[in-house]
Amino acid sequence: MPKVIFPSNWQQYTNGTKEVAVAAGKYQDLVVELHQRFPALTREMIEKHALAINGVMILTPLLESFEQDSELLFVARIAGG
Amino acid sequence: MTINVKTDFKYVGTRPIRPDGLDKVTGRAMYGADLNVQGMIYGHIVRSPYAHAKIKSIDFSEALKLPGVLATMSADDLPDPGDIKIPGGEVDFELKVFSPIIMARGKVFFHAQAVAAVAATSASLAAEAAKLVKVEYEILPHVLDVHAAAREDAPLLHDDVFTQGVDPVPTKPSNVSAQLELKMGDIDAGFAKADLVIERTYCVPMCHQGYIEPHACVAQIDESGKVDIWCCTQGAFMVRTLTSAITGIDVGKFKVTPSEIGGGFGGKTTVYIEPVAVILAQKSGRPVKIVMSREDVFRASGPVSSSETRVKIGVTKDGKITAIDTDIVMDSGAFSSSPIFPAVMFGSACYRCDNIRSSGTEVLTNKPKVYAYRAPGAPQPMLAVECVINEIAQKLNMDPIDFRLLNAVDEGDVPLFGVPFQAIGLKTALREAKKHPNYQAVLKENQGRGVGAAFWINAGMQSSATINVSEDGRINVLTGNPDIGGSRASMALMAAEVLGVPMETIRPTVVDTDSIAYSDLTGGSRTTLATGGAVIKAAEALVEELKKRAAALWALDIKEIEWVDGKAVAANGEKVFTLAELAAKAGVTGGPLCAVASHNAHNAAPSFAVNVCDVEVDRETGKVDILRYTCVQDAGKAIHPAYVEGQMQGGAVQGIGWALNEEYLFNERGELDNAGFLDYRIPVASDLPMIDTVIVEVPNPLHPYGVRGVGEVSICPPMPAVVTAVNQAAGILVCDLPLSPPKVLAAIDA
Repeated sequence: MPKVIFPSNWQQYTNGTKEVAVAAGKYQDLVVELHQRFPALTREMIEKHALAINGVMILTPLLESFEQDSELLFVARIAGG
Repeated sequence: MTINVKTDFKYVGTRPIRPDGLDKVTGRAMYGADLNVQGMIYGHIVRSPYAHAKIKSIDFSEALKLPGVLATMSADDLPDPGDIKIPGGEVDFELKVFSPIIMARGKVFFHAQAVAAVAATSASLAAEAAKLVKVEYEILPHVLDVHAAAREDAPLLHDDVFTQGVDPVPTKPSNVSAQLELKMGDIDAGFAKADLVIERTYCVPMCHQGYIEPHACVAQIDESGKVDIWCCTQGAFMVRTLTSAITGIDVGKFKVTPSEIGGGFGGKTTVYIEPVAVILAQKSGRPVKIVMSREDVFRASGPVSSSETRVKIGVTKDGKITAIDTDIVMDSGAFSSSPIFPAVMFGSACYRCDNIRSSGTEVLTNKPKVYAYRAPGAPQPMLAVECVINEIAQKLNMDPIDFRLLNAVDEGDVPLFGVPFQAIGLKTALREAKKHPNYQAVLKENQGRGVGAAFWINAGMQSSATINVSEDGRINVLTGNPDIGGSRASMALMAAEVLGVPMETIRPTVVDTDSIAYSDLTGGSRTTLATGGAVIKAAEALVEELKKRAAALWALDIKEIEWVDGKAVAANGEKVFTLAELAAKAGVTGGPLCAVASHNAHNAAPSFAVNVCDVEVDRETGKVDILRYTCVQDAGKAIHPAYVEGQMQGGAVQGIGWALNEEYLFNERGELDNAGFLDYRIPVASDLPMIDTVIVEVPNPLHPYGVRGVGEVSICPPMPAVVTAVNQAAGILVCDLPLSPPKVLAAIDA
């Protein structure tokens, strides 16, 4: 199952959980699943972050899907100057 | 994920003459203030004389009595921003944060904030009319210092700002607008393993990007309501989006044409005057030009956060870093928009360390709202981390580059922000710096040397490109990204590479928002990667179309056609069509030759840079002379190496200025006292030696040509390199920037 690693500043919303295996295979399902499992993790909070899939940062991950062994990490969206 | 990265190039990596060079050196190039249109009038903005005040009333009656005054405006002419959010790069644009910067709504939060505007038939008349606008204020106490602003009894800027990032969300409003902490490992255990711990606090003042060209625009509205804007900007589509949102005019009614741009560095990734010009044009029925004065640019555009970074680093006696702990406080000015996230995420990104903690606090003060500057948020914490690294290396009697090589991140390492590095060039850059002749130069009395290393993440985002072929085979490459650092040349070179034709046959053009599909702005070190990606895709599509046309003419299957050096080739070379020959036959083989590509780049990769600076300090005056300066940077693949070197040199010079001279000086009334280049001292050519450059090329494994961004990381290493060199040369430890002559002299004399 894909593995989600939470940034340390999210662990206050995940009851200290640092990482979790998820059933979702698509980004949109992932957002729903994470919010269901950790209600303090709001959709807005999740969706305003970029998603790194196996180390590749994606600022707009709406249509992304992932593999069973994918490692997923939410990262603050950074554009630069 | 990796792809096949091309390594053999014919045109990419060469140094042809820049396409915009002649226009710029002859003065033909049209900048923001250069456009004049028939019937044009001039806008002038009335600015607050107070740093914090309620606006009780605005009376335009005396101004309107002047013959030739044709329109006025205030925030009453703009829609209420409500809670509208517009998608942006780092964060969504909150309209309630952006709209008051264009025109204050009921309250001013910093000196020189826009309060009202007038338009008149001449610039001088508009300025005179602006003086006649009567604004009645109720003055409020203001606060300029972040520590004072963070206190509970401080004058409160906003009653609807509650500290974000803490749980539970506070119920009481505060000037502390955001807090953030990231950590990995066990910071206490890390320090327990250390044989040497050094803790310092480095302060960096509020600064400005220092672009030479002030903001300027012309806005025109025709009878159908179509809005034309001409302006200097890093992103015409951003101007369209923001101006539409702020004015409430449908986005589809806008056409924005970017002029040439005389510098931006992040500071022109937003709007200040365009919505004002649009409203004045709408009300007057005339085109309106607004040009910000230099003073207004300094006082009322978006400077860079001041910061205070405490850093504590522990190492073993053999030089392995065991713990890095940082706290950074950033001044965001009057509205929340500081780069506190990247500041917290990236300060220690150059080093492999299991135990890292980093926290950030954003504080609001009665100063202009800050905005982006190359690698926003990274230079300030990297100054602190790198200076302490230099100090540790000295205490351990290790060469500072060897110390860094021992601890540098490499492929597979996981930094604090969690995303493992793929192939990166930090170690290669460190080795190149060490073997550079400048690093071998012998230092004399009162001379010192400093090293700085840096990381920046770089962005991808959305771009589009169109390629048209004229009937003689010449190529037009159209993009929507203003050329702030050589993008026309790099677009042309990448198109040349795919099409197999010399760059001289390609004309790259930056077009308006009606002439190309959406493109995110030029910034984030993204244009060569993302817009270049769109150009590569469009060129590849064009090659396929050219092969199809040749196949039709020869009655062959397209699979039998090869594209070689700008020619369609078949039958083992017996059949050949040049691109020009195919272009001439376009009308009888299917119509005009063109290709369009839309690209959302997900293949950005980080950049690393290493700088070495040698200085000499005059012990009688405190003046610092830069003797030698060396920049080494991983570009992935340098498409046009001269432009890459220019980016490295430009970032170095700006960082040197930040280290030695640049600072906003506010008086007790909250007014900026040095709002001009005479008193805000940026480096000029005579201050500097030749900035030596070494381009390292460790290809980005996600990009077909290996490209990384180059525009931002270059500003991160100079501050620690210069500060360390000065402190070493003078035998002092000054951590409060800038290291101006009086400050250095005071430290020498202490």
